[in-house]
Amino acid sequence: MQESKIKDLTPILRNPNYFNNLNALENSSGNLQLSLRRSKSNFRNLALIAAHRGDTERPENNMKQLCCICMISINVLLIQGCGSPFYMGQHPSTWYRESASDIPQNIASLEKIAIRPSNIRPRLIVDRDHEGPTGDEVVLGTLAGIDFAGEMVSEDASGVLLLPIVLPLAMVAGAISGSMRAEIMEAQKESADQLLKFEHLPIPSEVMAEQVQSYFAEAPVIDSVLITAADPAPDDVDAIMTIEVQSLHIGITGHDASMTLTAVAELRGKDRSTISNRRVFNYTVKNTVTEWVVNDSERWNEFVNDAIHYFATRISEELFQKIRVRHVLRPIDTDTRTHTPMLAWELILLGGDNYADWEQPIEAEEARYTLEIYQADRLVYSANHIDGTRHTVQKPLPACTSFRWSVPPIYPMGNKTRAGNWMRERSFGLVIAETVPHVTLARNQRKHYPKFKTPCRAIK
Amino acid sequence: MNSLANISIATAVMLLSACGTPVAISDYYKADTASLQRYARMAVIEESDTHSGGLQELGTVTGIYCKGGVALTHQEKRVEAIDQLLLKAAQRGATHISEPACTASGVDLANNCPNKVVCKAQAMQVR
Repeated sequence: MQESKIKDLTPILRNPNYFNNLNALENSSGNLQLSLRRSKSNFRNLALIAAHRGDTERPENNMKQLCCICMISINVLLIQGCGSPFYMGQHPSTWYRESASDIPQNIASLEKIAIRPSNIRPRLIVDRDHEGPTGDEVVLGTLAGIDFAGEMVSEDASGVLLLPIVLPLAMVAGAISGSMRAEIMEAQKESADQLLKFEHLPIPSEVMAEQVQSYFAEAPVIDSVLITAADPAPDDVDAIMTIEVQSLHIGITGHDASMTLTAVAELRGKDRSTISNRRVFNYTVKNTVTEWVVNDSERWNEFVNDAIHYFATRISEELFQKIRVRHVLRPIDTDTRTHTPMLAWELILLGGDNYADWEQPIEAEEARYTLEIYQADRLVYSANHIDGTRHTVQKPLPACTSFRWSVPPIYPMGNKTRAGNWMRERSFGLVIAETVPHVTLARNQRKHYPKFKTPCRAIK
Repeated sequence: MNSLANISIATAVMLLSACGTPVAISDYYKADTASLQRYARMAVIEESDTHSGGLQELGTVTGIYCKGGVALTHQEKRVEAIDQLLLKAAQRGATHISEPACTASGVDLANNCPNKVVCKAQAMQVR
Protein backbone atom coordinates (compact mmCIF):
# COMPACT_ATOMS: atom_id res chain seq x y z
CA MET A 1 0.00 0.00 0.00
CA GLN A 2 2.77 2.34 0.91
CA GLU A 3 4.73 1.44 -2.21
CA SER A 4 1.70 2.12 -4.42
CA LYS A 5 1.30 5.57 -2.82
CA ILE A 6 4.85 6.38 -3.69
CA LYS A 7 4.28 5.26 -7.25
CA ASP A 8 1.12 7.38 -7.38
CA LEU A 9 3.01 10.40 -6.24
CA THR A 10 5.73 10.12 -8.82
CA PRO A 11 3.84 11.67 -11.77
CA ILE A 12 2.80 14.55 -9.56
CA LEU A 13 6.32 15.04 -8.39
CA ARG A 14 7.57 14.99 -11.94
CA ASN A 15 5.11 17.64 -13.04
CA PRO A 16 7.29 20.67 -13.83
CA ASN A 17 4.71 23.05 -12.39
CA TYR A 18 4.51 21.10 -9.18
CA PHE A 19 7.01 23.10 -7.23
CA ASN A 20 6.05 26.41 -8.77
CA ASN A 21 2.46 26.37 -7.78
CA LEU A 22 1.30 25.07 -4.47
CA ASN A 23 -2.33 25.43 -5.49
CA ALA A 24 -1.71 23.04 -8.34
CA LEU A 25 -0.18 20.69 -5.83
CA GLU A 26 -3.30 20.72 -3.71
CA ASN A 27 -5.62 20.44 -6.68
CA SER A 28 -3.80 17.59 -8.35
CA SER A 29 -3.58 15.57 -5.19
CA GLY A 30 -5.74 16.61 -2.34
CA ASN A 31 -4.38 13.86 -0.21
CA LEU A 32 -0.76 14.48 -0.94
CA GLN A 33 -0.06 16.50 2.16
CA LEU A 34 -1.97 13.99 4.28
CA SER A 35 -0.19 11.16 2.58
CA LEU A 36 3.16 12.81 3.21
CA ARG A 37 2.28 13.28 6.83
CA ARG A 38 0.84 9.92 7.52
CA SER A 39 2.92 7.61 5.40
CA LYS A 40 5.60 5.76 7.22
CA SER A 41 7.63 6.26 4.08
CA ASN A 42 7.67 10.01 4.42
CA PHE A 43 11.36 9.94 4.20
CA ARG A 44 11.30 8.29 0.82
CA ASN A 45 8.71 10.77 -0.42
CA LEU A 46 10.86 13.61 0.71
CA ALA A 47 13.81 11.99 -0.97
CA LEU A 48 11.83 11.80 -4.22
CA ILE A 49 10.93 15.45 -3.90
CA ALA A 50 14.53 16.32 -3.23
CA ALA A 51 15.67 14.28 -6.23
CA HIS A 52 13.08 15.97 -8.45
CA ARG A 53 14.21 19.41 -7.33
CA GLY A 54 17.72 18.51 -8.31
CA ASP A 55 19.05 18.60 -4.77
CA THR A 56 22.50 17.22 -4.79
CA GLU A 57 22.20 15.51 -1.43
CA ARG A 58 21.23 11.91 -1.62
CA PRO A 59 18.68 10.44 0.83
CA GLU A 60 21.49 8.57 2.54
CA ASN A 61 23.20 11.87 3.23
CA ASN A 62 20.02 13.28 4.71
CA MET A 63 19.68 10.16 6.79
CA LYS A 64 23.24 10.57 8.01
CA GLN A 65 22.51 14.17 8.91
CA LEU A 66 19.42 13.14 10.83
CA CYS A 67 21.35 10.43 12.62
CA CYS A 68 24.03 12.97 13.46
CA ILE A 69 21.41 15.38 14.84
CA CYS A 70 19.88 12.59 16.92
CA MET A 71 23.24 11.49 18.26
CA ILE A 72 24.17 15.10 19.09
CA SER A 73 20.80 15.56 20.84
CA ILE A 74 21.34 12.42 22.88
CA ASN A 75 24.87 13.44 23.79
CA VAL A 76 23.78 16.93 24.76
CA LEU A 77 21.04 15.47 26.93
CA LEU A 78 23.36 13.03 28.60
CA ILE A 79 26.09 15.59 29.20
CA GLN A 80 24.02 18.64 30.01
CA GLY A 81 20.82 17.06 31.23
CA CYS A 82 17.19 17.66 30.37
CA GLY A 83 16.45 19.52 33.51
CA SER A 84 19.30 21.94 33.10
CA PRO A 85 17.36 25.03 32.02
CA PHE A 86 14.92 24.48 34.86
CA TYR A 87 17.42 23.49 37.48
CA MET A 88 20.14 26.04 36.87
CA GLY A 89 17.54 28.74 36.99
CA GLN A 90 16.88 28.40 40.70
CA HIS A 91 19.14 31.27 41.42
CA PRO A 92 22.55 32.32 40.20
CA SER A 93 23.70 32.55 43.78
CA THR A 94 24.02 28.77 43.90
CA TRP A 95 26.91 29.12 41.50
CA TYR A 96 28.91 31.17 43.96
CA ARG A 97 29.30 28.52 46.60
CA GLU A 98 32.93 27.96 45.76
CA SER A 99 34.11 31.38 46.88
CA ALA A 100 32.31 34.55 47.84
CA SER A 101 35.48 36.57 47.51
CA ASP A 102 36.05 37.97 44.08
CA ILE A 103 38.80 40.38 45.03
CA PRO A 104 42.22 38.73 45.20
CA GLN A 105 44.29 39.20 48.31
CA ASN A 106 46.87 41.44 46.63
CA ILE A 107 44.11 43.94 45.84
CA ALA A 108 42.16 43.47 49.08
CA SER A 109 45.31 44.28 51.04
CA LEU A 110 45.90 47.63 49.30
CA GLU A 111 45.41 50.58 51.63
CA LYS A 112 45.93 53.53 49.31
CA ILE A 113 46.37 53.94 45.58
CA ALA A 114 47.30 56.72 43.19
CA ILE A 115 45.02 57.30 40.22
CA ARG A 116 46.90 58.47 37.18
CA PRO A 117 45.45 59.38 33.76
CA SER A 118 47.18 57.92 30.75
CA ASN A 119 49.13 60.30 28.54
CA ILE A 120 48.03 58.42 25.44
CA ARG A 121 45.62 60.56 23.47
CA PRO A 122 42.21 58.95 22.96
CA ARG A 123 41.39 57.98 19.40
CA LEU A 124 38.35 59.21 17.55
CA ILE A 125 36.98 56.57 15.20
CA VAL A 126 34.23 57.61 12.83
CA ASP A 127 32.27 55.19 10.66
CA ARG A 128 29.74 56.85 8.41
CA ASP A 129 27.81 55.30 5.59
CA HIS A 130 27.50 58.52 3.55
CA GLU A 131 29.37 61.73 2.98
CA GLY A 132 26.47 63.98 2.05
CA PRO A 133 24.90 64.72 -1.34
CA THR A 134 27.07 64.27 -4.40
CA GLY A 135 25.12 66.75 -6.55
CA ASP A 136 23.87 63.99 -8.85
CA GLU A 137 20.72 63.23 -6.86
CA VAL A 138 18.38 65.23 -9.13
CA VAL A 139 19.85 63.68 -12.26
CA LEU A 140 19.68 60.21 -10.74
CA GLY A 141 16.08 60.84 -9.63
CA THR A 142 15.13 61.96 -13.15
CA LEU A 143 16.77 58.88 -14.64
CA ALA A 144 14.91 56.70 -12.15
CA GLY A 145 11.68 58.38 -13.32
CA ILE A 146 12.51 57.57 -16.97
CA ASP A 147 13.29 54.01 -15.95
CA PHE A 148 9.95 53.77 -14.14
CA ALA A 149 8.07 55.07 -17.20
CA GLY A 150 9.94 52.60 -19.43
CA GLU A 151 8.97 49.70 -17.17
CA MET A 152 5.33 50.73 -17.31
CA VAL A 153 5.39 50.77 -21.10
CA SER A 154 7.18 47.43 -21.40
CA GLU A 155 4.60 45.71 -19.19
CA ASP A 156 1.71 46.70 -21.41
CA ALA A 157 2.06 47.55 -25.10
CA SER A 158 -0.94 49.87 -24.92
CA GLY A 159 1.03 51.88 -22.37
CA VAL A 160 3.01 53.37 -25.27
CA LEU A 161 0.02 55.60 -25.90
CA LEU A 162 0.36 57.00 -22.39
CA LEU A 163 4.10 57.55 -22.68
CA PRO A 164 3.89 61.27 -23.58
CA ILE A 165 1.94 61.82 -20.35
CA VAL A 166 3.67 59.33 -18.05
CA LEU A 167 7.25 60.15 -19.01
CA PRO A 168 7.27 63.87 -18.08
CA LEU A 169 5.34 63.16 -14.89
CA ALA A 170 7.75 60.38 -13.88
CA MET A 171 10.75 62.59 -14.70
CA VAL A 172 9.40 65.46 -12.61
CA ALA A 173 8.52 63.12 -9.72
CA GLY A 174 11.99 61.54 -9.93
CA ALA A 175 13.67 64.92 -9.95
CA ILE A 176 11.65 66.09 -6.93
CA SER A 177 12.43 62.86 -5.11
CA GLY A 178 16.14 63.23 -5.95
CA SER A 179 16.10 66.81 -4.77
CA MET A 180 14.44 65.83 -1.48
CA ARG A 181 16.94 63.04 -1.00
CA ALA A 182 19.75 65.51 -1.58
CA GLU A 183 18.27 67.79 1.08
CA ILE A 184 17.97 64.93 3.59
CA MET A 185 21.53 63.83 2.88
CA GLU A 186 22.73 67.40 3.27
CA ALA A 187 20.89 67.71 6.61
CA GLN A 188 22.34 64.39 7.77
CA LYS A 189 25.81 65.46 6.76
CA GLU A 190 25.42 68.77 8.57
CA SER A 191 24.23 66.98 11.73
CA ALA A 192 27.03 64.46 11.46
CA ASP A 193 29.57 67.23 10.93
CA GLN A 194 28.14 69.05 13.93
CA LEU A 195 28.39 65.82 15.88
CA LEU A 196 32.09 65.73 15.24
CA LYS A 197 32.57 69.29 16.48
CA PHE A 198 31.57 68.60 20.06
CA GLU A 199 33.79 70.08 22.63
CA HIS A 200 36.11 67.69 24.44
CA LEU A 201 35.66 65.04 21.79
CA PRO A 202 36.61 62.48 22.88
CA ILE A 203 36.66 62.78 26.67
CA PRO A 204 40.23 63.24 27.97
CA SER A 205 41.65 60.59 30.30
CA GLU A 206 42.32 63.35 32.87
CA VAL A 207 38.59 64.03 33.26
CA MET A 208 37.83 60.35 33.62
CA ALA A 209 40.59 59.80 36.19
CA GLU A 210 39.37 62.78 38.23
CA GLN A 211 35.81 61.44 38.29
CA VAL A 212 36.94 57.93 39.22
CA GLN A 213 38.94 59.34 42.12
CA SER A 214 35.97 61.40 43.24
CA TYR A 215 33.75 58.30 43.17
CA PHE A 216 36.33 56.26 45.09
CA ALA A 217 36.38 58.89 47.83
CA GLU A 218 32.61 59.10 48.05
CA ALA A 219 31.74 55.37 48.04
CA PRO A 220 34.21 54.80 49.88
CA VAL A 221 36.04 52.25 47.77
CA ILE A 222 39.65 52.73 48.78
CA ASP A 223 41.80 55.63 49.95
CA SER A 224 43.13 57.28 46.79
CA VAL A 225 44.99 60.30 45.47
CA LEU A 226 44.90 61.81 41.99
CA ILE A 227 48.20 62.45 40.25
CA THR A 228 49.06 63.68 36.76
CA ALA A 229 50.52 61.53 34.01
CA ALA A 230 53.95 63.05 34.65
CA ASP A 231 53.93 62.80 38.45
CA PRO A 232 55.92 60.10 40.19
CA ALA A 233 53.99 57.81 42.54
CA PRO A 234 53.71 59.29 46.05
CA ASP A 235 55.53 57.42 48.79
CA ASP A 236 52.41 56.60 50.80
CA VAL A 237 50.58 54.68 48.05
CA ASP A 238 50.71 50.92 47.52
CA ALA A 239 49.80 50.88 43.85
CA ILE A 240 49.00 53.03 40.82
CA MET A 241 45.84 52.72 38.80
CA THR A 242 46.14 54.05 35.27
CA ILE A 243 42.93 55.24 33.63
CA GLU A 244 42.95 55.55 29.89
CA VAL A 245 40.12 56.69 27.68
CA GLN A 246 41.07 54.61 24.71
CA SER A 247 38.63 55.65 22.02
CA LEU A 248 35.35 57.19 21.07
CA HIS A 249 33.68 55.35 18.23
CA ILE A 250 30.97 57.20 16.34
CA GLY A 251 28.98 54.99 14.00
CA ILE A 252 26.64 56.92 11.72
CA THR A 253 24.17 54.78 9.81
CA GLY A 254 21.42 56.63 8.00
CA HIS A 255 19.57 58.72 10.57
CA ASP A 256 21.17 57.04 13.58
CA ALA A 257 24.45 57.58 15.33
CA SER A 258 25.84 55.35 18.06
CA MET A 259 28.56 56.47 20.42
CA THR A 260 30.81 53.95 22.12
CA LEU A 261 33.32 55.15 24.63
CA THR A 262 36.01 52.67 25.58
CA ALA A 263 38.09 53.09 28.72
CA VAL A 264 40.80 50.91 30.21
CA ALA A 265 41.86 50.55 33.83
CA GLU A 266 45.09 48.90 34.90
CA LEU A 267 46.50 48.41 38.38
CA ARG A 268 50.24 48.12 38.92
CA GLY A 269 52.57 48.13 41.87
CA LYS A 270 55.04 50.96 42.36
CA ASP A 271 57.68 48.65 40.89
CA ARG A 272 55.41 48.38 37.80
CA SER A 273 54.52 44.78 38.58
CA THR A 274 51.02 43.87 37.40
CA ILE A 275 48.43 43.69 40.16
CA SER A 276 45.41 43.58 37.90
CA ASN A 277 45.40 43.08 34.15
CA ARG A 278 43.94 45.71 31.86
CA ARG A 279 40.16 45.83 32.16
CA VAL A 280 38.29 47.22 29.19
CA PHE A 281 34.92 48.91 29.66
CA ASN A 282 32.58 50.01 26.88
CA TYR A 283 29.68 52.39 27.14
CA THR A 284 27.34 52.67 24.14
CA VAL A 285 24.34 54.87 23.45
CA LYS A 286 22.43 55.15 20.19
CA ASN A 287 20.33 58.13 19.15
CA THR A 288 19.32 59.73 15.90
CA VAL A 289 21.94 62.10 14.54
CA THR A 290 19.57 65.02 15.09
CA GLU A 291 18.85 64.00 18.69
CA TRP A 292 22.54 64.11 19.46
CA VAL A 293 22.93 67.71 18.39
CA VAL A 294 19.63 69.42 19.35
CA ASN A 295 19.18 71.48 22.52
CA ASP A 296 22.77 72.54 22.66
CA SER A 297 23.96 68.91 22.43
CA GLU A 298 22.02 67.90 25.55
CA ARG A 299 22.21 64.19 24.70
CA TRP A 300 25.94 64.35 24.16
CA ASN A 301 26.44 66.02 27.52
CA GLU A 302 24.25 63.35 29.12
CA PHE A 303 26.29 60.69 27.38
CA VAL A 304 29.54 62.10 28.74
CA ASN A 305 28.20 62.29 32.30
CA ASP A 306 26.63 58.83 32.16
CA ALA A 307 29.73 57.28 30.64
CA ILE A 308 31.93 58.72 33.35
CA HIS A 309 29.52 57.58 36.04
CA TYR A 310 29.33 54.13 34.45
CA PHE A 311 33.09 53.71 34.22
CA ALA A 312 33.67 54.94 37.77
CA THR A 313 31.13 52.51 39.24
CA ARG A 314 32.20 49.54 37.14
CA ILE A 315 35.92 50.05 37.66
CA SER A 316 35.26 50.33 41.36
CA GLU A 317 33.07 47.23 41.47
CA GLU A 318 35.15 44.99 39.29
CA LEU A 319 38.56 45.87 40.66
CA PHE A 320 37.90 46.56 44.31
CA GLN A 321 34.39 45.75 45.45
CA LYS A 322 32.83 42.68 43.87
CA ILE A 323 31.62 40.02 46.23
CA ARG A 324 29.51 37.02 45.26
CA VAL A 325 27.34 35.66 47.99
CA ARG A 326 24.39 33.31 47.79
CA HIS A 327 21.43 35.56 47.97
CA VAL A 328 18.00 36.41 46.66
CA LEU A 329 17.65 40.03 45.57
CA ARG A 330 14.28 40.82 44.04
CA PRO A 331 11.83 43.68 43.62
CA ILE A 332 8.83 43.72 45.99
CA ASP A 333 5.82 45.94 46.66
CA THR A 334 6.90 48.50 44.14
CA ASP A 335 4.41 51.33 43.70
CA THR A 336 4.64 52.80 40.23
CA ARG A 337 1.24 54.51 40.12
CA THR A 338 2.81 57.96 40.25
CA HIS A 339 5.56 59.75 38.39
CA THR A 340 7.68 59.54 41.52
CA PRO A 341 7.45 55.79 42.05
CA MET A 342 8.34 54.04 45.26
CA LEU A 343 10.73 51.24 44.42
CA ALA A 344 11.25 48.47 46.95
CA TRP A 345 13.36 45.36 46.98
CA GLU A 346 14.31 42.51 49.22
CA LEU A 347 17.71 41.04 49.97
CA ILE A 348 18.02 37.71 51.71
CA LEU A 349 21.45 36.18 52.21
CA LEU A 350 21.17 32.42 51.93
CA GLY A 351 24.35 31.67 53.86
CA GLY A 352 26.80 28.86 53.25
CA ASP A 353 29.34 31.10 51.51
CA ASN A 354 33.04 30.45 51.64
CA TYR A 355 34.94 33.62 52.37
CA ALA A 356 38.63 34.00 51.71
CA ASP A 357 40.78 34.48 54.79
CA TRP A 358 41.23 38.17 54.02
CA GLU A 359 37.50 38.89 53.78
CA GLN A 360 35.00 39.35 56.58
CA PRO A 361 31.53 37.78 56.39
CA ILE A 362 28.86 40.29 55.44
CA GLU A 363 25.42 40.94 56.89
CA ALA A 364 22.32 41.84 54.85
CA GLU A 365 21.24 44.34 57.50
CA GLU A 366 24.42 46.36 57.00
CA ALA A 367 23.92 46.75 53.27
CA ARG A 368 23.41 50.15 51.71
CA TYR A 369 22.20 50.50 48.16
CA THR A 370 22.85 52.47 45.00
CA LEU A 371 19.75 52.81 42.84
CA GLU A 372 19.80 53.51 39.14
CA ILE A 373 16.89 54.02 36.74
CA TYR A 374 17.39 53.81 33.01
CA GLN A 375 15.17 54.95 30.18
CA ALA A 376 16.36 52.81 27.29
CA ASP A 377 20.12 53.44 27.36
CA ARG A 378 20.01 56.64 29.39
CA LEU A 379 20.57 56.87 33.09
CA VAL A 380 17.71 59.14 34.17
CA TYR A 381 17.94 58.83 37.93
CA SER A 382 20.37 57.61 40.54
CA ALA A 383 20.60 57.67 44.31
CA ASN A 384 23.48 56.59 46.50
CA HIS A 385 23.90 55.39 50.07
CA ILE A 386 20.26 54.31 50.43
CA ASP A 387 19.72 52.99 53.92
CA GLY A 388 16.91 50.44 53.83
CA THR A 389 15.26 48.56 51.03
CA ARG A 390 12.92 51.12 49.55
CA HIS A 391 13.29 54.44 47.85
CA THR A 392 10.87 57.02 46.52
CA VAL A 393 12.12 58.69 43.38
CA GLN A 394 12.76 62.34 44.19
CA LYS A 395 12.13 63.91 40.81
CA PRO A 396 9.14 63.20 38.55
CA LEU A 397 9.83 60.78 35.73
CA PRO A 398 8.33 61.25 32.27
CA ALA A 399 4.75 59.93 31.98
CA CYS A 400 3.78 56.81 30.09
CA THR A 401 7.38 55.66 29.79
CA SER A 402 9.07 52.33 30.42
CA PHE A 403 12.12 52.20 32.64
CA ARG A 404 14.54 49.63 33.98
CA TRP A 405 15.90 49.89 37.47
CA SER A 406 18.27 48.06 39.72
CA VAL A 407 20.21 48.18 42.96
CA PRO A 408 23.43 46.55 44.04
CA PRO A 409 23.91 45.96 47.77
CA ILE A 410 27.00 47.74 49.08
CA TYR A 411 28.37 46.08 52.21
CA PRO A 412 30.70 47.89 54.59
CA MET A 413 33.91 45.97 55.25
CA GLY A 414 36.20 47.83 57.61
CA ASN A 415 37.01 51.19 56.04
CA LYS A 416 36.19 49.84 52.59
CA THR A 417 33.07 48.49 50.92
CA ARG A 418 32.12 45.43 48.93
CA ALA A 419 29.46 45.44 46.20
CA GLY A 420 27.09 42.59 45.44
CA ASN A 421 25.47 41.88 42.09
CA TRP A 422 23.00 44.26 40.56
CA MET A 423 19.42 43.08 40.90
CA ARG A 424 18.15 41.30 37.83
CA GLU A 425 14.82 40.34 36.45
CA ARG A 426 14.11 36.64 36.15
CA SER A 427 13.92 35.54 32.57
CA PHE A 428 12.85 31.92 32.29
CA GLY A 429 15.37 31.06 34.94
CA LEU A 430 18.25 31.44 32.57
CA VAL A 431 20.98 33.66 33.82
CA ILE A 432 23.25 35.35 31.38
CA ALA A 433 26.89 35.53 32.36
CA GLU A 434 27.61 38.57 34.46
CA THR A 435 30.18 40.10 32.19
CA VAL A 436 32.25 39.06 29.27
CA PRO A 437 35.72 38.68 30.79
CA HIS A 438 37.50 42.02 30.85
CA VAL A 439 34.79 43.67 28.78
CA THR A 440 31.64 45.07 30.30
CA LEU A 441 28.86 45.74 27.88
CA ALA A 442 26.61 48.27 29.52
CA ARG A 443 23.59 47.59 27.41
CA ASN A 444 23.75 43.83 27.90
CA GLN A 445 23.79 44.26 31.63
CA ARG A 446 20.86 46.64 31.80
CA LYS A 447 18.48 44.60 29.73
CA HIS A 448 18.16 42.16 32.63
CA TYR A 449 17.12 44.82 35.14
CA PRO A 450 13.50 44.81 36.37
CA LYS A 451 11.07 47.01 34.47
CA PHE A 452 8.35 49.46 35.41
CA LYS A 453 6.21 51.95 33.54
CA THR A 454 5.04 55.32 34.73
CA PRO A 455 1.31 56.04 34.45
CA CYS A 456 0.06 58.04 31.51
CA ARG A 457 -1.90 60.19 33.98
CA ALA A 458 -0.77 60.76 37.54
CA ILE A 459 -3.11 59.67 40.34
CA LYS A 460 -3.91 62.57 42.65
CA MET B 1 19.86 2.33 7.44
CA ASN B 2 16.18 3.22 7.63
CA SER B 3 15.70 1.35 10.85
CA LEU B 4 18.77 3.01 12.37
CA ALA B 5 17.36 6.42 11.49
CA ASN B 6 13.96 5.51 12.91
CA ILE B 7 15.49 4.29 16.15
CA SER B 8 17.62 7.43 16.43
CA ILE B 9 14.69 9.72 15.77
CA ALA B 10 12.47 7.84 18.20
CA THR B 11 15.13 7.97 20.91
CA ALA B 12 15.75 11.67 20.39
CA VAL B 13 12.02 12.43 20.39
CA MET B 14 11.54 10.38 23.55
CA LEU B 15 14.37 12.16 25.34
CA LEU B 16 13.42 15.60 24.13
CA SER B 17 9.73 15.12 24.93
CA ALA B 18 10.72 14.07 28.43
CA CYS B 19 12.42 17.44 28.80
CA GLY B 20 9.05 19.06 29.14
CA THR B 21 8.34 17.34 32.44
CA PRO B 22 11.31 17.72 34.74
CA VAL B 23 11.03 16.74 38.39
CA ALA B 24 9.76 19.49 40.64
CA ILE B 25 12.65 21.68 41.71
CA SER B 26 12.01 24.36 44.29
CA ASP B 27 13.03 27.77 43.14
CA TYR B 28 14.73 30.18 45.54
CA TYR B 29 13.62 33.18 43.58
CA LYS B 30 9.96 32.19 43.88
CA ALA B 31 10.12 31.12 47.52
CA ASP B 32 8.43 33.39 50.06
CA THR B 33 10.51 35.55 52.39
CA ALA B 34 9.74 33.58 55.56
CA SER B 35 10.79 30.31 53.89
CA LEU B 36 14.04 31.82 52.69
CA GLN B 37 14.79 33.17 56.15
CA ARG B 38 14.08 29.75 57.69
CA TYR B 39 16.26 28.17 54.99
CA ALA B 40 19.18 30.45 55.85
CA ARG B 41 18.91 29.58 59.56
CA MET B 42 18.02 25.88 59.21
CA ALA B 43 19.74 23.70 61.78
CA VAL B 44 20.73 20.08 61.24
CA ILE B 45 20.38 18.04 64.42
CA GLU B 46 21.92 14.77 65.56
CA GLU B 47 19.94 11.56 65.24
CA SER B 48 19.76 11.27 69.02
CA ASP B 49 18.09 14.68 69.30
CA THR B 50 15.41 14.10 66.67
CA HIS B 51 12.97 12.71 69.20
CA SER B 52 13.49 15.40 71.79
CA GLY B 53 10.33 16.86 73.20
CA GLY B 54 10.99 20.37 71.97
CA LEU B 55 10.63 19.50 68.29
CA GLN B 56 7.59 18.49 66.32
CA GLU B 57 8.11 16.22 63.31
CA LEU B 58 6.65 17.47 60.03
CA GLY B 59 7.45 14.38 57.99
CA THR B 60 10.13 13.34 55.54
CA VAL B 61 11.36 15.81 52.98
CA THR B 62 13.25 14.88 49.84
CA GLY B 63 15.75 16.93 47.93
CA ILE B 64 16.76 15.87 44.46
CA TYR B 65 19.68 16.81 42.31
CA CYS B 66 18.49 16.06 38.83
CA LYS B 67 20.81 17.14 36.12
CA GLY B 68 23.36 15.66 33.82
CA GLY B 69 26.78 17.05 33.46
CA VAL B 70 30.31 16.36 34.35
CA ALA B 71 30.92 19.80 35.85
CA LEU B 72 29.99 18.84 39.40
CA THR B 73 31.59 16.19 41.57
CA HIS B 74 29.43 13.75 43.49
CA GLN B 75 29.95 15.78 46.66
CA GLU B 76 28.83 18.95 44.89
CA LYS B 77 25.75 17.18 43.54
CA ARG B 78 25.01 15.99 47.06
CA VAL B 79 25.31 19.56 48.33
CA GLU B 80 22.88 20.74 45.66
CA ALA B 81 20.41 17.96 46.61
CA ILE B 82 20.67 18.91 50.29
CA ASP B 83 20.10 22.53 49.31
CA GLN B 84 16.85 21.49 47.69
CA LEU B 85 15.96 19.49 50.77
CA LEU B 86 16.58 22.48 53.03
CA LEU B 87 14.46 24.77 50.89
CA LYS B 88 11.60 22.28 50.73
CA ALA B 89 11.78 21.76 54.49
CA ALA B 90 11.76 25.53 55.02
CA GLN B 91 8.74 25.86 52.77
CA ARG B 92 6.96 23.33 54.98
CA GLY B 93 7.69 25.48 57.99
CA ALA B 94 10.63 23.48 59.33
CA THR B 95 13.35 25.05 61.44
CA HIS B 96 15.38 21.87 61.88
CA ILE B 97 16.13 18.76 59.84
CA SER B 98 17.70 15.47 60.79
CA GLU B 99 21.04 14.43 59.26
CA PRO B 100 20.28 13.95 55.54
CA ALA B 101 20.80 10.52 53.99
CA CYS B 102 21.74 10.66 50.32
CA THR B 103 21.83 8.09 47.54
CA ALA B 104 23.05 8.46 43.99
CA SER B 105 20.85 6.57 41.60
CA GLY B 106 22.46 7.66 38.35
CA VAL B 107 20.23 7.72 35.29
CA ASP B 108 16.51 7.86 36.03
CA LEU B 109 14.80 8.39 32.68
CA ALA B 110 11.38 7.74 34.18
CA ASN B 111 11.74 11.00 36.10
CA ASN B 112 13.78 12.67 33.43
CA CYS B 113 16.93 12.65 35.53
CA PRO B 114 20.08 11.82 33.63
CA ASN B 115 22.03 12.07 36.85
CA LYS B 116 20.12 11.80 40.06
CA VAL B 117 21.09 12.25 43.69
CA VAL B 118 18.33 11.96 46.28
CA CYS B 119 18.65 13.15 49.88
CA LYS B 120 16.06 12.55 52.58
CA ALA B 121 15.65 13.91 56.08
CA GLN B 122 13.04 14.49 58.74
CA ALA B 123 11.71 18.05 58.83
CA MET B 124 11.00 19.45 62.28
CA GLN B 125 9.90 22.64 63.88
CA VAL B 126 10.06 23.99 67.38
CA ARG B 127 6.86 23.21 69.29
